[in-house]
Amino acid sequence: MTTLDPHNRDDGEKVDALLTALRPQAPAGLSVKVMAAVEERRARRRFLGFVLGGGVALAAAAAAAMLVVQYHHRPGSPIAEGTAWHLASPSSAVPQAGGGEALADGVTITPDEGAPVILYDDHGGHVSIDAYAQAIAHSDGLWLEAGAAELDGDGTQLLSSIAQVTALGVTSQVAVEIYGDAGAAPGQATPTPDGAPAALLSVSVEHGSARIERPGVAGAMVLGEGDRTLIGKDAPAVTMRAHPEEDQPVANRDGYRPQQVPNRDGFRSPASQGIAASSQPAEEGQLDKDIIRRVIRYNLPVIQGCYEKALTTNPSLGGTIVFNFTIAPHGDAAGVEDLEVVPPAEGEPTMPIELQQCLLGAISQMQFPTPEGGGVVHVTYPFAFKAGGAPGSLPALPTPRGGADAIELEVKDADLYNLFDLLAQAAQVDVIIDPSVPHVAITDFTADQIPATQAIDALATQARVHATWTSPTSVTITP
Amino acid sequence: MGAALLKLESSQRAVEGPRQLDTGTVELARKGDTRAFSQLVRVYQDRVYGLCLALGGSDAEDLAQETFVRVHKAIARFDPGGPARLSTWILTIARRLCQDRAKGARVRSETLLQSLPELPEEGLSPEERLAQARTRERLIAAIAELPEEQRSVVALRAWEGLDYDDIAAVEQIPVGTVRSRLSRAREALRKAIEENGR
Repeated sequence: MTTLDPHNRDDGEKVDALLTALRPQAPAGLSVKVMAAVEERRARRRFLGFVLGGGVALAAAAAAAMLVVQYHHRPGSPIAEGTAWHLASPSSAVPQAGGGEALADGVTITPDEGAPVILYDDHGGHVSIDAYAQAIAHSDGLWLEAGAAELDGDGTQLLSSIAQVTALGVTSQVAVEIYGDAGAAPGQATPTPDGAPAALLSVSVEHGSARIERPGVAGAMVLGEGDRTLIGKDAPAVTMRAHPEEDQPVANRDGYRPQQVPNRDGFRSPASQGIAASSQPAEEGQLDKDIIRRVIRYNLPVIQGCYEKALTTNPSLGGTIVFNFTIAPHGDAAGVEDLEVVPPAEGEPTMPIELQQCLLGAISQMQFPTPEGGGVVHVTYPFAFKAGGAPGSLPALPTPRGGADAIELEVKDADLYNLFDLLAQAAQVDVIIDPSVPHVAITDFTADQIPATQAIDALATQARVHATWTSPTSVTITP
Repeated sequence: MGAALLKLESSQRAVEGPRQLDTGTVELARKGDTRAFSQLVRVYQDRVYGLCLALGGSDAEDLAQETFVRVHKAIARFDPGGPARLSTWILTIARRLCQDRAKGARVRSETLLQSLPELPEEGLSPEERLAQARTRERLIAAIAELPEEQRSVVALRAWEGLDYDDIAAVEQIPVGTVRSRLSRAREALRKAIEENGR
């Protein structure tokens, strides 16, 4: 034991010793809060990437103040499943698949010494990112985290509403140019006479406004932060604004559902009973109303997620949002085109923009059977929401199995994984999601929370799935 | 006895070498591995929170959380082979954030009294414990009264275990300025303790 006399003027270390003894510790649960915030940001980024959908999806993460450009693998997209990314020298010609340096999944690409880099996939698409950009390669797409990129390649196309970037509140200084070569043979870009790919649209986002220009077309559309031009009253069809060509095919038809930002405010049922469909068959094709209802019902969890998110801001939120869209054939299935929000009738309340955005994203991802006759079907579909669903609708909890404080769930189905994630949030337990593997880790329980094992059994019951315990801390979830 | 006697284990006197994250985990965190980043948070949370507490007072937890969100956004750009150590890099982010947010705000001694641990009491008589509690209160009040720039270097030195060079890097000031700020802070704190003993 050492005795310190803090009155010794000559011993500054003794003051240090007193201070060191006062070294604070982070409050319990800080790391959990941090990971929840990180995961929410990650989920929001994923979700925003899906909002616009398509072969090339653009979205702005409002909180993160960055623009995200993301490819997805789906029919019509230039990025096929399991795509390998390669890094090519910026001085080389248009790279061919199979050459260059192969990039491992998750690798961050930052240009060296101020020179831009070219990335290309083994299916013919390629992306050049500028000297100040940063991207992360993934086998299911490429994330542009900062800076600017030029995108082109087989089947690259511009879809959905570029203008939504401003509605989501972008504040970063990012410029992205989208290039397309629809109609080109696989692996071949469509160069302009001077050899450069033709730009379809140029979007510059800075300080909360976006300037959208189309080369060769006079004028530009300038939108401010939160601008509702494209989705408010008198709005034209959102997707039509962004479609550079009338006959531009629409990708994103594989039924990929957006990840909703999970709410922590309890699981509530939206007034889904109020949903009604009215199909207005166009001349070209027909689709039974029940089929449309069935598809939308299948996607209700996502719709619910949107509504629940909005409820966290306004717990009594209720009202109706009406959407117009076209179901158009694409390959073996049909997807959504020309999606727009119908302005509310006189005297009707306008639903929150965030909810509209979320629903736009959800509907744009829906996949329908091909209409009879091969044509398109125009649909007007109202979504009626009514608050008041009882929170905490989980069944009675079974007896806890033990005091495990960290559980890893191996979830053997992507949809199941999403469902389980949603339910875990509903139970207000902390979850950590690893996007690279299909598992959910439930961890860091505190005394006032539902024990992990209890929650998992309850969630499995709610989800009507099997939870098989292989050890006190390991459970496998199967359909 | 004119003053309280603080008894500490000798190992507690020296500034402890803080725990560091192994390079493999750092690399995984840079690549977006959630588990690795979670581990990073656990290793550095006390240090980040301590600095935020010194600068932001009652907002420390929120500031620490936001610091790590920023770290998560930027960690892919952290160069493990570069001049900055990870701990210094993280604390620099925390320092800037907390300084920006806490600018002009006063750190209340009540907040620090609630958030900082008690001094060790083993082996002390009841009288000594009472005197030690007073020493703690006086010391914490003095910490709260320090100018922000002195409070920051004190936290980085005593709570984060940084050497003068690293403190200079975090604060972006010369090493000599670090020494002078620490010296002035120690003097103020020492006087506060002295007054407690009178």
